[in-house]
Amino acid sequence: MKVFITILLAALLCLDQGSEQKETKSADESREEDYDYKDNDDDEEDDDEVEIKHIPYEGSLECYTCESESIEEHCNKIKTCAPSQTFCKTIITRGNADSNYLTTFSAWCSDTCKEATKIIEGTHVTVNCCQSDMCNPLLVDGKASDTNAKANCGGILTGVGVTTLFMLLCSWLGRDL
Amino acid sequence: MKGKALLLVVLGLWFQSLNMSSGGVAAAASNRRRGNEDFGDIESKFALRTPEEITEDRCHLVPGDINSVADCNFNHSSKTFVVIHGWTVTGMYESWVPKLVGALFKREPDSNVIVVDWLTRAQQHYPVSAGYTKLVGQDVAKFINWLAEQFNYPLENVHLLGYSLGAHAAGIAGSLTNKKVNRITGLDPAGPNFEYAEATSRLSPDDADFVDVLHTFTRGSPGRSIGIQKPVGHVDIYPNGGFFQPGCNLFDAINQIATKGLGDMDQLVKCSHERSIHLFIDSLLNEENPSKAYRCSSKEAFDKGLCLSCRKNRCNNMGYEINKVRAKRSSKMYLKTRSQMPYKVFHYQVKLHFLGTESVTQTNQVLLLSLYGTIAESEEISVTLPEMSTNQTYSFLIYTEIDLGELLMVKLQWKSDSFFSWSDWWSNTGFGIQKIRVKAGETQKKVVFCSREKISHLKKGKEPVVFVKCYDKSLSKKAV
Repeated sequence: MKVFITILLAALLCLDQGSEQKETKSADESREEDYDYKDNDDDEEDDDEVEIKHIPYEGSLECYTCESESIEEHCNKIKTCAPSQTFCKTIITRGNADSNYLTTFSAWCSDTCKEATKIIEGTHVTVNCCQSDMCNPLLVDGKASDTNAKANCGGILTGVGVTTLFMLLCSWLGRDL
Repeated sequence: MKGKALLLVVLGLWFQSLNMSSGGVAAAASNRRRGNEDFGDIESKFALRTPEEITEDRCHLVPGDINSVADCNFNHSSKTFVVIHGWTVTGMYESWVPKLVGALFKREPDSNVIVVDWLTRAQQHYPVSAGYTKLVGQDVAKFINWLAEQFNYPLENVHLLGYSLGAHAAGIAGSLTNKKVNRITGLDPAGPNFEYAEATSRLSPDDADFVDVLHTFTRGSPGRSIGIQKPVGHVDIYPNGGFFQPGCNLFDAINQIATKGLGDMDQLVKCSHERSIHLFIDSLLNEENPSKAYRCSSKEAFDKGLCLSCRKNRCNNMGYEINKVRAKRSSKMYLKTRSQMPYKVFHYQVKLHFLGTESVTQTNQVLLLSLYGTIAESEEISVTLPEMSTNQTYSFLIYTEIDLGELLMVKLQWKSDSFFSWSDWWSNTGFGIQKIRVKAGETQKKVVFCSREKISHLKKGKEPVVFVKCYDKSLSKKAV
């Protein structure tokens, strides 16, 4: 029974964490740190002008969002997309990086998306597109599928979560381990 | 040897005539009385060409002679292009005339294409011919007014295209018609005698409902340059900065003499000047892929990649498919082109931010950049940065001749100063780079490329570093 409670607590905690992240991230886009551009020009401003802080509305798409993370890092930030952004996009890159072989992963809300696979100078680049909430989790085999990721509370517990859930199920059935 | 001498002679004549500018204009104009309503004083001839006969003037429309219009099969329900040539050494039509006529018919098969023949006036000394543009403009205006009055032909259907001196003749014609014509396209309007002229005696925005101008050969001091430097239309486009066009340098000229002989001599001398026509022809023939030009405060700002915006009409199509944007003050627009047809290129702004713990500054450094897209990859693009300093961001423009599709990856290398440089070998000059930001002008997309290891180290004379797309965004809803 103790085990059951701990697992439940863990599950609750992780759910909580998930929703928190969602709140903070939905505020404004990863408002790319604006450098002090040396060649500033009046034309620079229009990049930012477009980025109107949007209020999440019923039916806003939610996507995992991260920039070039390795498999170990877990892409677990969730972002509410702007109305025009109807795709969750992921790019998986496999191949030798500057020092060693790496698999890296980027994910974001996008207004256009076209699936593609290309090998560029020995590096394998795959673009995946999907259009349902959190449909772009980082999966170990390097393929983002359409699994409903809401159930397993983010990418954190994809590995641990499955076993936990299994244990949860077992205890639910009253068979104390 | 003979060829070189001939080239020099022609060049000499050309420049001499340009420099002899001021005098003759007024005299030439005052020699003739301003015409009455009769058409007796019209010296220019108006040949209606057909898709079958794009080279020869077989049928002339004669102002005052109603039958001539029917005889030439003028189509009253179609639009009309009026092509006005410029100054000529030979007294003959130049080879671009049939090319432009053919392209106009290809794009608008039912249209009327009229070529204005003012060759006798156009083969005088340049200043004399320049003065004649007033009379040619009057001739053209009388002809157009007659078409409008006699046949109720709508002037909204009239598009004048003038090259060099012909552009100013078109402007004067437009200022004298009873109602404004739809459009005047000025193809590198002549500079000498016109750079400082009043708006009434040259091409200006008031001469038509819409005036668009291509400036392709404005090298030299103002008033001396073959093409006019200042903007004279609603939209003024300066391809490749407007000074000079790719593929037009002396080396290319010698190369062409070697392969094609001296037949096209006059073409070589005016390569950049005439490029304006070929850019327009390109826009007629390559309907689906118009080249885009971008509004910018200066050529220098454009070359830094700072002007690839399409918001608020800041970009426009070059040539036939231009959007009729009339800004309060005329706007200069820029783009890069290839050296031959199709001229379209794809523009990108690249922004780099150099990180480092100790402050380093290097000057005149060469970076090699390759872009990889879903369709193709670019060649290695060489960029010279006047300065590279720690914790500074630099922006520059690059362009590719082919469509790469959606960008996926960028490769960046820092060239060493010389082939084998001891200083590069020993020192470990380098900067950290986290991200490369790229803005694509043609697709109006902003793309961020991330280092695969959070931060990559760009070292002088060492291996290239690779950045993979990690974010993208469309800048405008209209973008394709």
